[in-house]
Amino acid sequence: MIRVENLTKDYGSRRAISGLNFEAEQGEVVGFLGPNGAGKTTTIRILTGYMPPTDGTAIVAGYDVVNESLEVRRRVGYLPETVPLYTDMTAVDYLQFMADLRHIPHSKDRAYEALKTVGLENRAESYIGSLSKGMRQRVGLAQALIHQPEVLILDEPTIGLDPAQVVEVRNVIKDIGKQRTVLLSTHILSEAQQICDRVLIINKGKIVAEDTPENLQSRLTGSERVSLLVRGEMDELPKVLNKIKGVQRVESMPNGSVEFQFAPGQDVRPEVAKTVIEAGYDLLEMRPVGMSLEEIFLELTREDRPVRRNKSRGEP
Amino acid sequence: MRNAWVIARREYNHYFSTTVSYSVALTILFVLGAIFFLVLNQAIQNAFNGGSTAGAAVAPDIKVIAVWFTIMSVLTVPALTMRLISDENRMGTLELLLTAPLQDWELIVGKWLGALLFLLTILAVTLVYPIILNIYETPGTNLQWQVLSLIILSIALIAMFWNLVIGERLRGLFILFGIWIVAIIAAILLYKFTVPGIDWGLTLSIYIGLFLVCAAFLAIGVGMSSLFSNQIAAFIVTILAFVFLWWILGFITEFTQGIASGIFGYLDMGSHFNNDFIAGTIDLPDLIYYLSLTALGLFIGTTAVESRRWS
Repeated sequence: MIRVENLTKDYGSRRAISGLNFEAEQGEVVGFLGPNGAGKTTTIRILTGYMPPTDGTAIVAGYDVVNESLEVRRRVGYLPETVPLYTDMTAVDYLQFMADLRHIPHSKDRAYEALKTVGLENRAESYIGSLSKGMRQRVGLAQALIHQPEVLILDEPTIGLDPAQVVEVRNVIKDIGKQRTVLLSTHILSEAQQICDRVLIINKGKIVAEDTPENLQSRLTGSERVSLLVRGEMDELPKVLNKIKGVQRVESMPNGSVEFQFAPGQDVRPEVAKTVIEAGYDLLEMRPVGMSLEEIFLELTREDRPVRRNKSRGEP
Repeated sequence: MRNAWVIARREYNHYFSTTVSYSVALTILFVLGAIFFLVLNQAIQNAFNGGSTAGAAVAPDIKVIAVWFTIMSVLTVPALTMRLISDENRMGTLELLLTAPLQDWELIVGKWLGALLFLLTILAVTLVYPIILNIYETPGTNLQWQVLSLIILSIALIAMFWNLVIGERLRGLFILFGIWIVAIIAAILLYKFTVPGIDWGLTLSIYIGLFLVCAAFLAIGVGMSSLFSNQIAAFIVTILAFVFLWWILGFITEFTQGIASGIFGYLDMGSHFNNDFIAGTIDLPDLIYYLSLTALGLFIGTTAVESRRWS
């Protein structure tokens, strides 16, 4: 369980994150999406007790990250962005060392188990320095899993893995997410769609959207939401559009256009074009609002756009 | 404390996988071996030239080794401690340790303890010199005991390197210390059985002094390492600190008078060893001095690591 309230962190005069609020429940995989420098790693470092916040509170696994840091650290498995490994140790020695630090009995057996979970049991005796980047990434993941933590926090866990390994690691994370809390950061939207129950999009230290991956996907697949720009009596336009069968969720946008939606497969665009012209408007533009992740970022981070916070599908 | 031991074990093993620590061990042991050879050779020459039959009268004593061990420590311990924290910082593994459930002081004490065990391993090798001297100074009497203890020490060293280089490293550690203790017991037996041998009480005092000096040096080294994210910077500052504490304070003491001289004299790290332990006297102020210096170094290290958690 993770509960974050009004979390703020300043590096000198630069504000890295400002007033974050979010929650992650047990049995939930929450994805943290955002461009570089958005504050993902800062947030994660605060949650894992590496650094304190400037303001606000964070409760992880039932304990405050500042005042009960040690209790939090006992219950959190953490894979940092730059995988921290001792290259002069063998994979199994390294994991045994981490298990010993967590006072796990039979640490050697547990080290082998953790390696098995990430599919590296055949490289247990290899020095970490001789492993490939993907293998190192998996050793790092094994380290985060070794004490079967209540909360698992992963900073870009699938970076550097080949496609087959990505699938394996995602399955491991999904499995863990069934009973425990998982927070992972990524900038790959398809990854978030596959393993996350909920996605937080963060930019410039602020959460700009919070949504289920399905909702994000529906924004992405495009063609079902359309932007319409016309010249004429704008106040009447929504009424005109709402009369057309199949048109849903008409919204006037701040830039003067109107957006509407239709169910996939029921293309109402010819009907809309005809109706609008018949009603005396000049049709200037009609285009699908299909969004790539980049476009979502750009859109969400535009200064003049109101923040969207859709908790579930269907809510505006 | 258990965590500190886990860290110390890893650190001790790490020393056996880096070239820096091997070069430090080699440098210290080579210089000590060369000096021991020269001094012993000189003593034998003197004995022949002077026609004296009593070797003990002109024999070198273990003080030479002790003094050179401290000099070599000043110059090489910074190389052992420089990477302890700064390298973790550079490799990103500090993030791992600071988000693992261990207290900051456990990390620092563990690092210090690991380095101390390594330096003590080198120090253990030097036990061979008092035993050789003892044989030299007591011709004929109870030679079998002395040869036996030398053999035990040699076996200990071989076992140590065998175990450390090949396979089970930790077992090597325990075997080393087990056999080291046996060697010390053998040495005490030697003292009882060989009356005109070397002064084992003095030797014990010197080794206690060396232990305390090592502990203090390493603690300062760990403290300095935690202040820098660059090993070289840590090395330079540490060696400057050692030179200041070990030699420069001594010079200052000579050029000052009254209370100032007293204060500098007490702060002078070298004087406590070179005046007291090496003469066979262990005073409370000396013990307190070295232990507080050790505590100070560990405190600096802990505070530096802790400061990363301050908002």
